[in-house]
Amino acid sequence: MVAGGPPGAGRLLAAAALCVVSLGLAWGAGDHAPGYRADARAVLVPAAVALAVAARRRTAGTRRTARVALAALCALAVLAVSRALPAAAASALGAAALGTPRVWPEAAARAGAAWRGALSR
Amino acid sequence: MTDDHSDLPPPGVPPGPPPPPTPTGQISGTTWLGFAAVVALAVAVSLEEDGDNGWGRIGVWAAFAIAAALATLAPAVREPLRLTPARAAQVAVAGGIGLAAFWVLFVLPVIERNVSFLATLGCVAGCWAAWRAPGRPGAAGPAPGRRPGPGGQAPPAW
Repeated sequence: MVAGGPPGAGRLLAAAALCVVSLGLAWGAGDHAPGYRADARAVLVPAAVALAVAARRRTAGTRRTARVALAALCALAVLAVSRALPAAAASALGAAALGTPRVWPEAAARAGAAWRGALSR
Repeated sequence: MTDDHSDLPPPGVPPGPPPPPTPTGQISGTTWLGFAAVVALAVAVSLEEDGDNGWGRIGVWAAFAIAAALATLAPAVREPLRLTPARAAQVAVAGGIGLAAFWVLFVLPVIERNVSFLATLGCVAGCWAAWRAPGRPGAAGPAPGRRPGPGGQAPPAW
């Protein structure tokens, strides 16, 4: 927990920082361009801003925006997998995993149940 | 960023005191920020680097950036334009969003250039001016009518 911040602020700030770090990873389809030059920047930068704002301001609007950012990060992870970019996919999924339990606990619980079900099979 | 109806005062709660007005003839810090954004972006897109400048590279988008920076000055010129404080704040926020989009789409890919540093400073100044725009919910202190929680701060909504 960040000192003086709302509960879970540290997780959201860490997710935002991971989005910023991802800008330095390879995201380009063929040329392996860095994230700050690739099309992924259109998602990574707004997601980082949305998660950082949500860490400090807890309104229904910031929660909705953070949820959109998390969904976009999951879509970005799928895009990275389709481009065979494991580091980029892992960073996007990591940012989503960090933010989801605080912003979207229902989705985190569903994902956890699905994961446990897959492991028990 | 996005604020929705959760910032509105609940029914029956008296509105809080209005923000203190800027003394007549004194230019507010928000206006200076918007002005700095306009100047920085105009210079950034006009300076030549690597044999070309912003007008040659991105054309109309350079004008869009300057127009977005000008929009962040809306609260300062709302009386001649006959805008309500809330409408002026909306125009300023729209300008800030436009500047953010311009930075992500056109400045970030060439961030290593010198003019990109100047453009970044302009975008930051413009977004800061929009964030501090008078009339925007939460721009100066808590929103009118919001009841503070323990310790003087509003409790988190989630």
